[in-house]
Amino acid sequence: MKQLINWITALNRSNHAGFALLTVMTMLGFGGLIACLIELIFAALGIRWDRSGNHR
Amino acid sequence: MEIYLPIAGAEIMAWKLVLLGFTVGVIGGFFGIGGAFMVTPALNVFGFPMAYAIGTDMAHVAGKSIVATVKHKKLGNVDMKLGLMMVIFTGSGIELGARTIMWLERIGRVGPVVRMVYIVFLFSVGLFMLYEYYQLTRHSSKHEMREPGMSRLSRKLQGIYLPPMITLSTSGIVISLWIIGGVALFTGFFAGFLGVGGGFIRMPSLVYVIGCRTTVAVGTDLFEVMITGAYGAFTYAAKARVEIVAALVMLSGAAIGAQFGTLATKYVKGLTIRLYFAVTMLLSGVSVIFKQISSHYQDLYAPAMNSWISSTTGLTEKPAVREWVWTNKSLVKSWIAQQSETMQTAYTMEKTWNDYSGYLMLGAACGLSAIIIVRMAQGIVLERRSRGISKALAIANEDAVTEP
Repeated sequence: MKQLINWITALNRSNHAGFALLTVMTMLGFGGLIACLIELIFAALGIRWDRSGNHR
Repeated sequence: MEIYLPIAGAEIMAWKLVLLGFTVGVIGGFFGIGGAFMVTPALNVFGFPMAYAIGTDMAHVAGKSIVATVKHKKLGNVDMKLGLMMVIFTGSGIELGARTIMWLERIGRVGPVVRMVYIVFLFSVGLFMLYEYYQLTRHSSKHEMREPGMSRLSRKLQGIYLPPMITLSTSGIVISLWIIGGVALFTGFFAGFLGVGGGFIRMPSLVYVIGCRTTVAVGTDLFEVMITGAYGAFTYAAKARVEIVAALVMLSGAAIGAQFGTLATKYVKGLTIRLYFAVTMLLSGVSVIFKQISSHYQDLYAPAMNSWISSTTGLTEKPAVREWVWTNKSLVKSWIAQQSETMQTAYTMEKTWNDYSGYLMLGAACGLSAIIIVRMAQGIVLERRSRGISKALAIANEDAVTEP
């Protein structure tokens, strides 16, 4: 883990474009993964999401 | 548990980041906003280096928005057609806003103008939405709240025939592409001008100008925030201004918070969502006023400090000077200690008012997210009760039918 963090820090210093790409991919990737996990958990628990009401 | 932020070179308690992520996740899922105007002052109060606060927030918003958008899509709140069309025009608006800022910077008027526009905007929107709530509820009881309906402005704009006319089935409206483009350009301009994501500008525009239902405005806005957040994260990371470890920790809290915030929109009426949004706007306006007071104190010592920095290091560009100040805090403090009492007081008062701004936003985030979670829980309990009653009635009816 420490090695990974050191590598990320070094990338931030040496290659800004690469670091930017890594940041976006990591955040979107983790966001997507968490979203999928939550959907799976809710499906496993039998929790269903009805649509919102038609109120303004 | 303290975590070390390798890029910023600072340490921060992990629970603070998770709590902040959670509360802003609730608020973001409920209002359809990124929440940068709450996160950055709060991060600053926690001791997070300000230079990294905006970029780190953008990065966490990009991830959090996916979680919340997926949820809102399931609830039928995301008008992707509208969102994608708006993103194209929003980008151009942001570029225009950013160039206007650069021009103001060249003529040396950027700080006061931006803050004044921010304050006027926040108070105008907040007071208007508060007034709308008062108008619609003053003659009705809590349970008979009048529906706000579509605003007069949005009805007029939808009536304008300017091809191509776009049918938005999720929003339930037909409107000219040029109106959508104009609104997106306008909101993008303000977002670029104020240096924010723009969710808190776009959400009321979707409701009052385009005429979307509040929940669809929330969901569609989150979809856009996801795209603009990713773009913002990229540009700030390219400038080495994102603390990725902190962003991931905040995302863990935000992902959970967004579930609560999104689910709450199912149970809270649109008008009440707008009331809470109005209160958020007004509190943010007060926070910006505190920052304005803080900057007045900074003006008392900043010119002398900038000359000292320039003579010591040769740096004259504002971003470079700011960077130097942040990395040499102890040197700056030593220099301030040698100055007059007025300057020392100004330095202390600047930090104090800055902290007030941060604590106000932190308190507002915690209080508001607690209210939203309570409303969500109340909604779930009521729904379960009414399901139980309906089930009991259905069984009773069946028995009545089958009895000879």
